[in-house]
Amino acid sequence: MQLSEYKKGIALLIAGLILIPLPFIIKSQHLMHILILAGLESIVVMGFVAQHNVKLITFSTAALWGIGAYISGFLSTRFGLNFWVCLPLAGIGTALFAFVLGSLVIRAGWVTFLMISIVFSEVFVETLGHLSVLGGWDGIAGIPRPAIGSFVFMSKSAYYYLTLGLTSVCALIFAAFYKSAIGKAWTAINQSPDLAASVGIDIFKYRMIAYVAAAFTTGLSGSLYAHYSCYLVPQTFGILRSLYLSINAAVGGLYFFISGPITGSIIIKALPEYLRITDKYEPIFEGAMIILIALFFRRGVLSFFRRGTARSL
Amino acid sequence: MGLEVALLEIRKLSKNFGGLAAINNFNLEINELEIHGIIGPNGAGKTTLFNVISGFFPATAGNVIFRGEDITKLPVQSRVKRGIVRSFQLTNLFMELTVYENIYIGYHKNYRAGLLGQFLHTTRAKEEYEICTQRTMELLEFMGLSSLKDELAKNLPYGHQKTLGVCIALATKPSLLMLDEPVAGMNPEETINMVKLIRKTRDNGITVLMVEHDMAAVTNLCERISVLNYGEKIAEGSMDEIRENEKVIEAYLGRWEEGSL
Repeated sequence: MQLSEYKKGIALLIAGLILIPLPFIIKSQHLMHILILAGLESIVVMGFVAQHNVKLITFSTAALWGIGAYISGFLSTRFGLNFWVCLPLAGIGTALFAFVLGSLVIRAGWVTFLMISIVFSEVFVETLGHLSVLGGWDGIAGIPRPAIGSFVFMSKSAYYYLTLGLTSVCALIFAAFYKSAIGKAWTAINQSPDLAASVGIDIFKYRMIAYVAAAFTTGLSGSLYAHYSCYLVPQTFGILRSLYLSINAAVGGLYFFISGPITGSIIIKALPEYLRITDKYEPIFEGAMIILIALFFRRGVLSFFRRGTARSL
Repeated sequence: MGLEVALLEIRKLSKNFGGLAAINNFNLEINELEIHGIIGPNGAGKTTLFNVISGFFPATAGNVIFRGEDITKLPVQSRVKRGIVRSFQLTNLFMELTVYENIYIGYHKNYRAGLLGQFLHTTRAKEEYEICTQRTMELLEFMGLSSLKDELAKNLPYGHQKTLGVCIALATKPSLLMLDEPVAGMNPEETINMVKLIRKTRDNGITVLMVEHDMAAVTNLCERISVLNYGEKIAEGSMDEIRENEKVIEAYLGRWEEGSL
């Protein structure tokens, strides 16, 4: 126990030493852009992994992300609300939505949940496209960048630190979950739902907690995305995006609850750039990744360094 | 007879799957601190009966009454709270977790700290973790698994896996422990150990209801036995009474009819 805490500390220190001075090392603006997106996606993927942990497979992660983004984008452009007000509202709004949808669907079992998530993903994009209040297919433009006093997060490196901050906060939220008895119940459900039920674990309740928590952090990430890209269109949040996000999760490792999403997102975002793969060939790259993972790293790339158990953070 | 209040009472219980009656008009009373066995040929409905009593399947008709309270409609976790806990026929464990963690999870329903308290890791939650840790160690000692506590469940030999299954059920502190074929597939030595453990469990104040095919184990343990065939109870009593019962002999051996060969 002591040793693993010690190792965890070292891993965190190394991660900090690499991630904090990055904007001073990397001069490429485009690479900073990639890292910011990877950070935002890793938050979403943490939610995906948490849901997977309670045996809920979802293909609507991007739609939840979109809800957060649109709440933030709408409130800031229409009512001129400050980013720091929009951010928590986006998280809470997405969580509320997940609470309503979850209480209707989760009880019906994971297969229904999966089907509904696919339907929801499609319906979400279509609805946005036809809602003129939210800009229809043209989307919402002119979302302001966040600011503290007179300082505006305009540069890529400033936004990088904002993203790093939110990613760390979300990582801490999930770490607290996994460390608590709630996380133990999640693991039990993951290992054997029947046995978990037989010792008195309320599967519905713990699935709801995972789903709503994931929606909350996903909403926060969506808000940060809206204020980063300053421009939202419905197509961004379609089912294809959700599929790509699930590849991030598989690459990092579904049983590395926090380090997995971060590693996976960085690899999936940065590797095509590094290999100079253009958008045209990106689906081929993604496909190749998922095949490689399925063949050689069933537990994600991190299992290469560390024997994955059912409960690594 | 009659003066004791039954711990578990099953009244006219039926369970249909489509048109098939898996359990039909089944009555049973289990008294506090007895070891009650349910036997019967394959497909007689024993496991279905377990699933209905523990709440995994809803009953089609009839009532399940526990300590005078009708629990027929309650979900699994509410029955566990009241003290009815079952183990599984096939080894069903948290395979990727250690023996210690398996049992620790069994203590789940005993947490008193609320969800928020657990999430924020309050002092109260911490105290509870410590109590659970201590109890887990005690139970490991009781079941003779202390030396294996850091082993992953999937790496255990079969006999130990079965024992661990019972252990997880015991961790919930049940008042009625339901065992689905606890000694199935065990070698004679493992069987003897399991029989001893079950008796020890009862001596610690837990009523046991078990389904078993191993007649030696049933004879050794059970004070009363119910025989199930085609979803109906055809006999009840001590082993000696059951052995003489014509219907039971017929169910197990078949009836010799004129011209059947």
